[in-house]
Amino acid sequence: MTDDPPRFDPGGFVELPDKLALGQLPPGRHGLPRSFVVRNQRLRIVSALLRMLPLHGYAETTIGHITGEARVSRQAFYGQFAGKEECFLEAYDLGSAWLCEGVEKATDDQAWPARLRTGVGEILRLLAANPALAHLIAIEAVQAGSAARKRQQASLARLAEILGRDRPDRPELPADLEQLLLGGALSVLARHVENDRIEQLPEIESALVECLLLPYLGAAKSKKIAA
Amino acid sequence: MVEKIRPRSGLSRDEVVANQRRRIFDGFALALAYHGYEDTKVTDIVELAGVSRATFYERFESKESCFAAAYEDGAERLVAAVAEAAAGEVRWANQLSAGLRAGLDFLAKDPPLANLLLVEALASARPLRLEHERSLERLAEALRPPDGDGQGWKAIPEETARMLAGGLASHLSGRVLAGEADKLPELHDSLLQYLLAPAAAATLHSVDDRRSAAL
Repeated sequence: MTDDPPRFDPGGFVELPDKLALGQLPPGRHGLPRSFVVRNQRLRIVSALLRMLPLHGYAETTIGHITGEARVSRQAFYGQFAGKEECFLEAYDLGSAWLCEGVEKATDDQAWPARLRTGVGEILRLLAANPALAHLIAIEAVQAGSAARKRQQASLARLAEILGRDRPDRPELPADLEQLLLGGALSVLARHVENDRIEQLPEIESALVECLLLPYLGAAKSKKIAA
Repeated sequence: MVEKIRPRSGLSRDEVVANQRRRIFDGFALALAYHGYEDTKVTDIVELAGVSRATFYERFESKESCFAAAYEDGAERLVAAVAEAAAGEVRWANQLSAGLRAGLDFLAKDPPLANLLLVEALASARPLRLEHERSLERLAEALRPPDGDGQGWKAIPEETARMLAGGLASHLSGRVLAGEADKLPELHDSLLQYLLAPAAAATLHSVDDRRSAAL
């Protein structure tokens, strides 16, 4: 794949009227529908949180950081969110849905085990190109409290389903083996993100794929497919 | 909870200090389970531990340093329980099974400590997460079949073992978060299968590989 990996930008999720630049809307009368203005502001706040997380970490990120970056008032923030956690969870939901959709698309026409390799490769490629998202998914989701951790488990289950779709049944192995292994892969990811090795994430593709296939295919075959 | 030692109980100073320390750790774990790390105050800890604020600050500088000490103490006791169970077995797979059972039982008996070790330690400040990282590395070491032990297990890559350890911790963490710490022992069989799967696959398929090479 030679095309540039797509960027994750919640601010870009709003369906914009033609020819309107993204970002802060002009104050006063701009003739835009109220629902659009509200949604635009909400996603701009989420975007700002996403950019602040790698700088401060979840615990140290303040509402002031977020509103300053989003250029909205505190009042506007609290009009949209009950607090930091709610805003964070929305960022996580958008980010993990975006990632899962990218993996779905990339693996669409493939059969296991090729789809697992393609899918893992796509995850790493997307995260490498979107460091703030990598940070959110691998590091902050663990730090942001129990609601975020529960969502993380749900995302892992969804990814396991996508990657393991149409894999031959192996009744002798635990049903949630893939999810467990992906949880392990996530902890490997986290180590790379913490060590400032986000851009190099694609380098670990074959090691991860080999680990994920090993229980199903054995050493020799896993190595061959992962290579 | 550890029982409070009454004054003039005839215990040595060291015993009293050790008892206080244990009670502070238990109180800390309980407070964490109730309030979460951010909202846990030293007041909550000393109340649950049944010690005075002054005693707390004699032993620990801050909530943070108490957390680090409580983590270290809890992790050490967990490792000791696992190691003792594993030492009673000769074969690697049996050691793994016995160690896993002991570990799950240990955590199930003390859900607040399970929460401290598996949930809060991940969410806390970076120094403690490095501590957690080291625990995972120790665990990963135990998950690799020893080379040439004559039991026929094929070695698995270091990175695979590290992933297995991370996956185990993340799965247990999920169960504890779901409020099911007391049911962890029920996971023994499927987790053992998970932990053995890569080594088993490497071993079995290497027999297949040799066979097909011979044909």
